[in-house]
Amino acid sequence: MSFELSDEERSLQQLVAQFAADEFGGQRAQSGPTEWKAQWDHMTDLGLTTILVPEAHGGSGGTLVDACLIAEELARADAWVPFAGGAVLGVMALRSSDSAAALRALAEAAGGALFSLVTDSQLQLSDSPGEVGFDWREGAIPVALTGTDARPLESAGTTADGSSDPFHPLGRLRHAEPLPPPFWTQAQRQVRVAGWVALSAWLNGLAGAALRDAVDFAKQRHQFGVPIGSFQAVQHLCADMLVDVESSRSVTLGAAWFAANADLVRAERLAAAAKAWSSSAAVRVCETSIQVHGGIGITWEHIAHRRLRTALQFSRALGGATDMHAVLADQGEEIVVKAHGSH
Amino acid sequence: MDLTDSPEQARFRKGFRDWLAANPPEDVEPTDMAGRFAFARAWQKRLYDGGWNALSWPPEYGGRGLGPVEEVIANEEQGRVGAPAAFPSTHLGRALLHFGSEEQKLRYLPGLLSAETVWCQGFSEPDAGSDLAAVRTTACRDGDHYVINGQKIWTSFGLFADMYLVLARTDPDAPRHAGISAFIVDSRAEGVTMRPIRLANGDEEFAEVFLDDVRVPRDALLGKPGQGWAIALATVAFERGSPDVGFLVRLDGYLNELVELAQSNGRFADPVVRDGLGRSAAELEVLRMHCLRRTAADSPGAESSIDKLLLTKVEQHLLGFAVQHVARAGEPEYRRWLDRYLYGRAASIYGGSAQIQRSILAERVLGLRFR
Repeated sequence: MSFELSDEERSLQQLVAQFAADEFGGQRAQSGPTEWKAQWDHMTDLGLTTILVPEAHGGSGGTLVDACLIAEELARADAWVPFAGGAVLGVMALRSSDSAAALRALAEAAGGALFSLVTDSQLQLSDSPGEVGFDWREGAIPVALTGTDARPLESAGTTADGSSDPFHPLGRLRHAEPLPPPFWTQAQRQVRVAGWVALSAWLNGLAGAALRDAVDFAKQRHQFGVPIGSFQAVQHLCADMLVDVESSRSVTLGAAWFAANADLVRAERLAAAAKAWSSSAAVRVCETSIQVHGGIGITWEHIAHRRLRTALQFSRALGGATDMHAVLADQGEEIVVKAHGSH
Repeated sequence: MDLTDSPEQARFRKGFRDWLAANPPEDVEPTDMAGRFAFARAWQKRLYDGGWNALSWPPEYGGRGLGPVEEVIANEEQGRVGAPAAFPSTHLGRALLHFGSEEQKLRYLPGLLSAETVWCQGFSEPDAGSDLAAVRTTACRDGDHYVINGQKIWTSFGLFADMYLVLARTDPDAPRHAGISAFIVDSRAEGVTMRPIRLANGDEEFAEVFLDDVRVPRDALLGKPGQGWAIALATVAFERGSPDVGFLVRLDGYLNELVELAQSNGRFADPVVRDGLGRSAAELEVLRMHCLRRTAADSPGAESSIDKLLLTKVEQHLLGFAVQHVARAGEPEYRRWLDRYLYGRAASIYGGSAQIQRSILAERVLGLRFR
């Protein structure tokens, strides 16, 4: 029992960090996600977009822990590829069904096709499949959890709306026919678990970047003749960010492990805990980073607001802290029964 | 990364689970302070006699020679059956283990680990709290002895102490961090007086300890002369997040009790109550995973301040929520939760205040140090 990353996991982390620095670093972050396809294809060549596609279907056959490490490194570099939406949510949705269409789609995903999970207007997987493609890009294929199936859709009239988060636009979809709600089969619940965990990992990467930049800025920026990072008022903001970032990483990686290695109830419990905590933490950290940066932090040119936009959107996606607390409260009775049962 | 039990760990878990089933903890924890203390101590003794305590400690000093992971497993299993939380003195044991002579370790550790001897921390003084290096208690060499004079305060469980680990200044001319040494002091030694401090919740858990011409032999010195500051830092770091401290067991117990209470008084249906309980359940998982991740680290170090701040936040939120939304004034359970809540306010003060923890993180982990 150890949290220590294996050599393989560590080299995956390094590979992604290097790739992300090369592809998304520096001035390019200003241009935004218009050219996502070249990077996506490059990631497919590296086996990253196909990390959760089983080897039998032509993918890399990685774990959810691998996917989290990738998500975190990409987000830390402010990458604008739809990894969480496509490589995790899209692929996991396809994996939840064994229909011929889903299997065909999985093979396409192994070749680099982007599948975007369909959510409702609140970015939730509610009782009726909605008309929003999450983490949408032009050319993506929407996939909806419906009945016991995950159905790739031919939807008309899709446009990407990046007004609230230019790094992670949303698709507006119009379905040809109304879709029945998902039955929440075990496999569909696993999609949700993987989604909660991967979105948390992305949020943690964003928060890590926001913390890093705030600390760097606090070391360089002088006021009253000294670096502002020498003031306890600023130091303590940074320390709080560090607690948020590190605790979020702990619960997210733990949840990623147990998603594949525990019963579904425990997996949901940990994944919901990760999503609740990381969602609140990332928004808090991105806000605090702006505070530490002062005026420069609220300018259009500075990346801080883009991170905050993504933090807000991802923290709400598939349920925010309040929704996750409800998942855990629903398990509440079981907690007590367990404690008593063992007396 | 691999969070499943190895075959040996699974066997260990099964063995402990079987033992717990055959030796279940008593159901009712006494409400008064002395009763609770005796209750926790008796449980620790029982665990120890069964071979289920002091797991990650070397066998030659009374331990089982296992690793931190076994401590984590034991914590999980005790949490599962609602066992009393471990008796909080192992961080002092860690100081003995790291800095003690072979003779000191053989002499003191078995009693400390079995809870036969109660060890307490004699660090803080009236003018040396957050600024611990300002200690004014002195220890002067007198032949084969040291003579200690001074006053200690906020000594947890001080009235129950058999032994104190005392910080005292041995070299008044040295720079202030370098002039401090650590001593093992028997609470029955002549010149030691204790006075209880009554806390906001009515408990007399803390004490003042007065040291008037207390003569201790030379071998009561822990480590080298002048090593006291390093010993103090290591001790509080161990206090902040080690798996053998057992706070997860305590908090799991609180949450279970609270859910049960909310169900019995009907408030579980209230959306605000459900949200708060769900939040605490989530936060306990965060804490559990964070502690598990930190057991992979070799020594606690400055990062242990993350653990302490996290633990404090989770604990204070749970207790604040309990008295504001679940137990209510006028109800029989309220008093117990109010007492716990009031005591919970100390969590961000003892073991290094939350402000000190933040400064440690800023300076030593984030590199915001410019002096």
